[in-house]
Amino acid sequence: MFNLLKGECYKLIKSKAFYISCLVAVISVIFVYGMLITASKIQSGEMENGAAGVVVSEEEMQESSTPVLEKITSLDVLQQMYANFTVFIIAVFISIFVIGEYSNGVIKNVVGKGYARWKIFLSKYFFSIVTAVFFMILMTVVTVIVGCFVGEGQVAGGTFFMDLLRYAGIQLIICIAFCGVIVTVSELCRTLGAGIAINFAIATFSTVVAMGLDYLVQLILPRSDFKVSAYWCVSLMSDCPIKDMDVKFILHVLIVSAAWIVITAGAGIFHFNKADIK
Amino acid sequence: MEYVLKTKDVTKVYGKHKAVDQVSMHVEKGAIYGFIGKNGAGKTTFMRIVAGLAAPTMGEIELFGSKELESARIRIGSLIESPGLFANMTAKENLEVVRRQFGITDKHAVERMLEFVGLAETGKKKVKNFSMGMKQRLGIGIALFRNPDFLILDEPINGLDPEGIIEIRELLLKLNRERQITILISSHILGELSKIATYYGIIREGALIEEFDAKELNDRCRRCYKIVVDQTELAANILEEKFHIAGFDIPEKNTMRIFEQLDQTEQINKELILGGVNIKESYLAGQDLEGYFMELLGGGENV
Repeated sequence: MFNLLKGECYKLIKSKAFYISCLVAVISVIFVYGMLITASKIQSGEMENGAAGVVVSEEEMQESSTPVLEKITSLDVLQQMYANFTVFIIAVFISIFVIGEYSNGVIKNVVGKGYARWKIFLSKYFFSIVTAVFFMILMTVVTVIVGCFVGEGQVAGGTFFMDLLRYAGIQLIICIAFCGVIVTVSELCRTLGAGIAINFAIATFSTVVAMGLDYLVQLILPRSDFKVSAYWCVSLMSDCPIKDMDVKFILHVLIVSAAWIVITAGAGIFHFNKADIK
Repeated sequence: MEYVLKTKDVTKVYGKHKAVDQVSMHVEKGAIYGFIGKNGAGKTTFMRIVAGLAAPTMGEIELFGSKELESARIRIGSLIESPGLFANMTAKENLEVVRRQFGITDKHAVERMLEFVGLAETGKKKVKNFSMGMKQRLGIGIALFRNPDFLILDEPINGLDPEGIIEIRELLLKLNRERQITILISSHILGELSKIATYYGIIREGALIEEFDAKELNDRCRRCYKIVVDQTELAANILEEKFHIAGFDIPEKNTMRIFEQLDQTEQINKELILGGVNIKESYLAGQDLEGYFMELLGGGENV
């Protein structure tokens, strides 16, 4: 299995999609900060409201209001990055990384060559998680570094780095579960176009679907406090609080994520063992 | 007889369609086994089953005398349908992936294989810019990378120009002779296949209808004068005494095949009748290899 992982590592290093995804991650961080800087300049009167497509509300334009760059810290930016950018990058990259092997037929070079099929799937699963974690770390580091350049207020406060570690750590765990979902959907799908589309839809619309299901549960069981979204990894990523995270929430995240990892890995192995390689 | 591959009643069913129907194949060690059938006859599906890419619905497979297929398949190299290659990588990088995946510690193995398949000069050229022949050769290189004892090749000369076909043919003969690699190969180009195959299997509508060796094929295709007579012994004496013919056989009762002096058929008939032999039928038989295969496959189209 270690050899399979070495092979995956080499493929990742040689993958153009990987470097493009890294670049997109960095550019998206700079883009978000660019918007904040523009908003800040509009607030201070250096730029006109609406410049570069950024509109600051009347309330924020008043002199008494806190400057945008002090109000929104790097942690807030990070929250936006995780919920709105990372999931898409991971969804698209992993679709390409996993399904690409079926499209170009290279999966045939390793299946039926002495390795148990579950090992082949798990090596792909594991390495996709490693890549997703790398994207998360990259985004975190770039957000903090750019934040340092943008202004002291971005990373200010005695508890910033502790909050950052806790928040990023929890997001990382949820991200692993999300990554598992994407890998398994890719394995089930095996067609590049369809796989990217389905995984992109999962990243985009699944939280809305989960909210809709919450509403449905409320209608059917008005006294129940059960929420589907509390057990869905993408919803957990966007609902994860930046600060004051209680132990109960952390435990909940750990259990839900572990469950998703077990379910997706199990389903993926089962399908990979059964399905023929075209 | 030592067999590299032996299957018994291997069947693959997709819904109601039997893609492979009770195929019992025997591939001897050291053979180049030509697997022949029309498009959709089940060649690729059968090869995928043997290579472990698809599971049979029923039937048994024995590789190298063992039913432990997972471990036996380590000794197999395969190129089924198109070669599996990373288009954005070079030939060297593609082989490097395989080297790492299988834990081959010898780093020079990649260069040696590139040299062997004639791709050492491709340098930084990406696979997406390769010709069809180069891609096929790289695919064969990947299949050969772990020094297999048994090579499964599905249409390896498909889409190649005449020069490419000759290159692949010579490469396969070299592998068979120098490395004693047993090869199971399917091809549409029957004439080309007959230049290398030592054994043949004919598949029609999923079923293996016949297996025979190259000698038998040559015998079957050999031109002869076929006669059906009432006394074969007497006819044989006349042929030997009057015409000094030794090249004849009696494949079945009352039937003789004469392989010599085919321009003397009129004289032969005359002498046989004068000698007291009753001739019921007489005709010139035999055909070229492709014609024979076509006849076996049941039609000339889409082979």
